[in-house]
This record gives sequence, structure tokens and C-alpha cells, in this order.
Amino acid sequence: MNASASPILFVSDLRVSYGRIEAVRGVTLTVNKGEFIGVIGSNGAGKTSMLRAIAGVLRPAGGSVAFEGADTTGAKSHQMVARGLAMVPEGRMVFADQTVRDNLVLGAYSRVASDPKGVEEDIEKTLDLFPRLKERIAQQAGTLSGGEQQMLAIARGLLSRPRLLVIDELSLGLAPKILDMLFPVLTDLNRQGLSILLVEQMASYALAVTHRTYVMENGRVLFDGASADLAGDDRVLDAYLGRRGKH
Amino acid sequence: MKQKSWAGWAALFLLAAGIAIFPWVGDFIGQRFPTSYELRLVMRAMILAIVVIGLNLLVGLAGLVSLGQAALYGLGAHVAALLSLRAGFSFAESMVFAIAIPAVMGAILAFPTVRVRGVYLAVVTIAFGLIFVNILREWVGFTGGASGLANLPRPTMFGERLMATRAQSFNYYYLILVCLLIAVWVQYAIANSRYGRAMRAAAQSENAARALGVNVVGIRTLAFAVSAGFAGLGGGLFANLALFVNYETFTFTASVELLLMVILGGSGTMAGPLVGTSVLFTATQFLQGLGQWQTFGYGFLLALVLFVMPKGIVGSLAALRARMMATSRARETGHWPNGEPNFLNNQNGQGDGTGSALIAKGVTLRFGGLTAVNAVDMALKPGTVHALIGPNGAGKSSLLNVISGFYPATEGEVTVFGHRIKNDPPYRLARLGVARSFQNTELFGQMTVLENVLVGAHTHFHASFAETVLRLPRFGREERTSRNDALRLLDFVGLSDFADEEARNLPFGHQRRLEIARALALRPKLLLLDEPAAGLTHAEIEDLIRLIRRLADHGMTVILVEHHVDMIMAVSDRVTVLDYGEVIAEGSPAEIQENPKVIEAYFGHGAPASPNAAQVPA
Repeated sequence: MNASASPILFVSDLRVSYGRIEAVRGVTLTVNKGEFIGVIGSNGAGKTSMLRAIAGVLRPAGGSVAFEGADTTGAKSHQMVARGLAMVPEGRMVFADQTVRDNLVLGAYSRVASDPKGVEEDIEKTLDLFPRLKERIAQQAGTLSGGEQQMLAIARGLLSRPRLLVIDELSLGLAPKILDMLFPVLTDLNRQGLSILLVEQMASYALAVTHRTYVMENGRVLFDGASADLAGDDRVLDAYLGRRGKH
Repeated sequence: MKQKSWAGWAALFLLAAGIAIFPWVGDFIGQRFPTSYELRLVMRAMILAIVVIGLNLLVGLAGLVSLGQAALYGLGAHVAALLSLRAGFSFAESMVFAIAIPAVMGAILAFPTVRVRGVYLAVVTIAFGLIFVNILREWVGFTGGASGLANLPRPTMFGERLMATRAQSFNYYYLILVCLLIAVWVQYAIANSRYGRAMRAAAQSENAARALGVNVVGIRTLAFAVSAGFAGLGGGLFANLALFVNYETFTFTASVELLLMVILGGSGTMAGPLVGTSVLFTATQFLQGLGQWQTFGYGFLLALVLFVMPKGIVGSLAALRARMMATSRARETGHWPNGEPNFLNNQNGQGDGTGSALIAKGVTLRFGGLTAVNAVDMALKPGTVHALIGPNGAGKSSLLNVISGFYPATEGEVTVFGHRIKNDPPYRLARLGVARSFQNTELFGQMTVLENVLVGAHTHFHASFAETVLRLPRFGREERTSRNDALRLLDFVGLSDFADEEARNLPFGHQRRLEIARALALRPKLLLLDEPAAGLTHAEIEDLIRLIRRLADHGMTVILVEHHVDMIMAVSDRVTVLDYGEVIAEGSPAEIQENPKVIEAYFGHGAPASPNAAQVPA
């Protein structure tokens, strides 16, 4: 990575707790402009909680979040969207009883009144990324297959014109063929300048597409490094990839 | 947990002692206190509390909002009044009917829940209340209309008059107190039993409750009947206290007030009805001095309390306490499964003569013009793991829904362990030994992890409702055994540390495991798992593989819908591949992996991000 790159997201000593549980205990993480970052770790490691605190869905219990140099700790999710951070939530959460088009328009909620033409153009551009959605544009989102819903969730996120896209668990419940279709789209978006922070259980996928990866355990960052290096790292192989063929 | 319930009982004891001493306070301080008016106020408050406890069972546990409860309260009052005025029934006799008739009415009111819930059910109960009051007002010959039924005979019991003099009215006061304590006990006894758990389960995830063998209509009928029985008890006590009843006490406004008492106190909590009734009843008395500002003050107070304490007084205090006790600890778990699932082995799937756990013949499922499952044939040997794979939208989950009874097949037939499924509801299939998990997890989010597993054991309780309320030995025995089994199951799936956590607070992957533990509590012969590995890491998937293998080794038959190819290859005995609702291939995992049709439809090219491509070091 470029050493002079400036961070688009800087998370410092972040802590999140809810109910009786402290889920994130002091996480420090950086996403530089133009980077594709992965976060892997077991269930309960605190990945989703961390993302929610970054995106303003949860209020952190401590630490700080800075987006494009401005302190956004404790900002609300709609404020984060306005600042240029979009989140694709775990389990997709499309608006099931509205059409694909209406879901997309809702993604541009913050600017659709002031710039209806721009939104229309963006919808067209986004649909070019996902031709399957184009075929289903008038269908209710709830009738889409799981893979199509995930495409819609990503497309909807893109319509707020984010500079950082945060994705929670892209692969959840998706067939291998769909994943082979989705990951290249993310890589393309990243090459066009979009920074991406991806939380993913399927470590093998995350390590194959991202630049750097953070490995979380027990609410903390265990270690991080270039994804290509981590893919051969013994610690990652044992815990997250399964050391195939060795024993 | 232990300490908390101890504190609750202590508080209840103090409250009961306070109420018991209240009539005698004047003797200690040498004044004429309480006056008979004040004594009556306390009696009316206690009667309302009985009705509110009943409503709390319905709203707080079963999640069914009734805005017609005052009509059931009024039904009890009018039954008691009419029977003692017109039929010469004794106090005790008329009270029996004052409870029983509203209870039957409540059971009838439960019928609409088969079709409607939420706000729609609330509208049905409003309609019931309006009709009831209208009948009371217009059927003058029977109910007296606006002049009501007056001059009821004063109640007597065991030849003792309960109400005539001040000293005798103490008798009635204590009778009401005893009824209130019984109501508190019954509420506690139901809430802490399979009945209460099933009510909460049906409210939080109806599908999961049905899949675990809960007869949802039955349990809602029970909730309505018990709730109405308490309303009737309160009504009968009220009629014999006031010695006059007419419709004005039981209007829609009264129903709203009863519901407000439940919500203000904390819906679903044990102490909530007592607190809510006390606060609102007291507030009403004080606000009477405000003249035309009374209603304004009442509304303002309600809005203020619920804004500060959105879960009601007791509910919000409990949440605050839970937050203060927040402890820092690991949310990850070690490897699982732990031990062998021997304790599940009171029935195994083998040797029922047919040689097949499941046979599907020409199963077809259509929604309107869409064919989700098309002429599927399958046969499963007992004790095997059978994977069902295919692209998203291929009909895998639809097929699971047919097998578990959620959708009746449009054509074809399914036979499970020799029993042919024909319009059997899910709860009956659960009782035949079919358990399932759900693709998007359907846990009872606001119940603890342990309670979730206990709902899974619902069909293994045999203590009757009476045995449960009276806490007879069989109830205690079953409760202890089930708790032990549930804890062993949690240990088996590695979630022991989370037993007292609310299920919704678990990380997603743990929720999947909890769903499996809950399904196992049913002690199923056939287990259907819908994408159990979604959201799990590689290490966790390996744990899951071991778990499924161990279950199959103990004779359980497993149907597995999954996308993780490595897992399917490692765990399955047979694989069926669906595409567009049709079987495109069937065979051993090795055969399936080589099948060009499957590669085309399902695996894709696997080039850029094929798992285990780039990572294995040379």
C-alpha cells in the first residue's frame, strides 16, 4: 500500500457494549482512501458490533471514530450516510414489500428531492453493475432470491454516493456461483476509487479480494496485515481457513 | 437469578402484610382510620389488580392486546348480580359462575386469533366490548338498563355476613386480599411453566413455536380463558362490594384504563400489574380534586412516566438493573460439540419396519402460477445425513417447509417414519419427531437462551394445567429433568456460559447453534437444518460437521440445506441437487462434485475466489 495514503476512516480504542455484554473492547483500525479492507474472526469476536458503531447504528461506549478527518463518534446513522458512509447490513434488510426501484430510490433518500435527475442517472449506472436487478426492477424486493437481495442491498447502499462502503457478511446464505458474481463487482467498484470495509466469516473469500485484513478475537484486534501474507500465515490457517491436507 | 426471585417474594410479603394491617392502623394511632370509605377504596384497588393481573397474562405473556377486558369484568359482575338477585344463588355459588361464564366467553374470544392478531385483534375486542355494553344498556327488562341492578343481597359465607357492619366488612376485605394473592400466585405459576413459556414463544415467533410442537391456537385459548376468568372473579367481587351494577363501570374507557395499568406497571412483569394498578388508581383519586383539569393531569402523568420509563415502571427498572450489572466477558466460545448426545436417545429412528425415514413421491408445491417445487422424489435411510443443495431460489427451503408441515404439498405425498403427511399442522409433525431450524433464525429473542431450549422440550411435559398451578410433584419432577437436559444440550453445543442471556443479544452464529439445541430438545428422529453454517467461520463449521456426524451416529436422520461445499462433502451420505424446483442430480457427494449439470447450475467457474485456492502453502 501507498505509505502516504490518508485515512478515510480512523477508529481508535473503540468500545461497544449492550445488554450485559461488552462486545468490542478497544479496537483500533484504519481504512486509507481507496483501500479494500477485510475483517475476519469468529462469531462473538465483535465484528458486527464494531461496524454498527462506525456506521452510527449503535453508540460506542468509548473510543473514537473519525471519518475523513472529522470526529464522528456517536453520530447518528443518517448523519453518517450524509457524510458519505453507506452500510450494507447483515442479512440484507431490503424493504420486502416495496419494489426494487423504490428500494433504490430510498437509498438516495437524502438527495432525491434536490437532485431527481442525478438520482435517476445513478440508478441506471448501478443497474448496469447488476443486470439481474434490471430484469426485476418492478418486482417486490421480498420476492427476489437471496443473491438478488444481496445485490439490491449493495446497489441501494451505492445510491447514497458513498466514499466508504461498509458491508457486513456479504456471503451469508449465498450459493458459490452468486459469490463469484458479487466479489468481482466489489473489486471493480474499489478500482474506481470506492473505499470498502468488508466483514466476512468466509475468510478465504475476504483474503482473496481485500488489500489488508484485520483478524479480530474477543472484541480486540489480534493482528492485521496484507491479505496476501495472512493467507499463508499459520495463525490464520489454523483458526480461520482450516489447514487442509496437513492432518 | 435466585436472589432476584427471593427479593420479589419478600416485597410481595411486605405488601400483603401492609394491606393486612391497614384496617387496624387506627387502633395503633388512636384515630378513626381508615374510614369505611377508605377501606372500600383499597378493596376496589385490589379488585382492579386482580383484573389487571389477568390482562397481564394475555398482553404481557401471550402478546395479545385486548381492548375489551372491561366487558369480561362486567360479565362477571352481572352474572354474580343476576344469579343472587333473580335465582337466589348463595355468594359462593354465584362467584363460581361469575368466574366460569366469562372464562368460557374468553375462550370463544380467542377464536378470532386464528385469523387476526395485533391491531386487528384489538379491533375485534373493541367490537366485543361495544356490543356487550350496548346489550346491557338496551335490554332493560333483564339488566335494568341505565338504572342497573340494585339492592343486591349482602354476601354471606359459612353463615357469616361479610359486609353489613364495619367489623364484618373486614371479612370481605380479607377475602379480596386472599383472592388477590391467589391471582399473584397463579400468574407466577403460569409464567414459570411450559404454559407461560409457550405463550411467550407464540408471541415472539409463531413459526418457531409451531415447529416445536406448541399448539398455538390452544395456548392462546388458554391465555384468553384464564385472563377472562380473573376478569370475572374481579367482576363478581365488585358486584358484591358495590351491591349495585350497571353498564357505566364497564365501558370502552374502562378497558383502556385496565390496559394502561398493565402497560404503566410493565407488561409481562410479575410485579407490574400491582404497581400499575396502585399508581393509576391513586393518581385518579388525587386528581379528582383538580376539577376539569383531571383528565388533562391524568394524560400528562401517563405520557411523562412512559416517556421516562418506556417499558413501564417495573420493566424499565429491571432493564436499568441489568445494565448496571453489565460485566465484561468473552462472547466467543471454545470448540464444540462437547460429549455425546446420549441423553437424546429415548427414541431412535430405526426399526419401524419401513426402512425409510422419509419418502417423498412426486412432491409439487405451487404458489399461484409459480412452481417452487416440481415433482420431487426422495428417499432417506434412517441415521443418514442427506444434503439438499442448489442455487438461491431453487426451492430447497420450500421443500423443507412441506416436510415440516408449514406448506401442504399441492401434489404428491410425503411419508415420515411410516406416517403419511396430509395437511398435518407443524405442531403435530413436531410431535411425530420432526424438528427444524430456520434460514433466518427464528429464536424467541426476549427469552433467555435456557428458556428457548425449554420451549423445545414443550412436548415432553405431561403435567396438566392444574398440576402446574398447584405445583404438584409431577410438575417439579418434569421441570427439573427438563432443565437438566436443557443445560446438557447447551453444554453439547457449547453455549452453557450464555444460559441466562437474552437470545437476541447473542452473536448471529451462536444464535444458529442455539436453534439447533432448541430443535434437539424436541428429541427429534428427523432433523431439518436450513443453512446452519451461514455466518459461521471455518473453524466453527468444522465443529458443526462434528456435531451433525455425532447426531447421525446416534441414529438421527438429518436433512441439510447448505451452500458451504466443503461442509456438504464432509458430512453428507447423500446429496440431492435442486434447480428451478426440480431434482437435477442425486448421488454420493463424490458423484455430485463430478456432475457437469451441477457444476453448471451451482458451482460456477469458481475462479476468482474459490475457497482454498490461493491459501494452501506449497
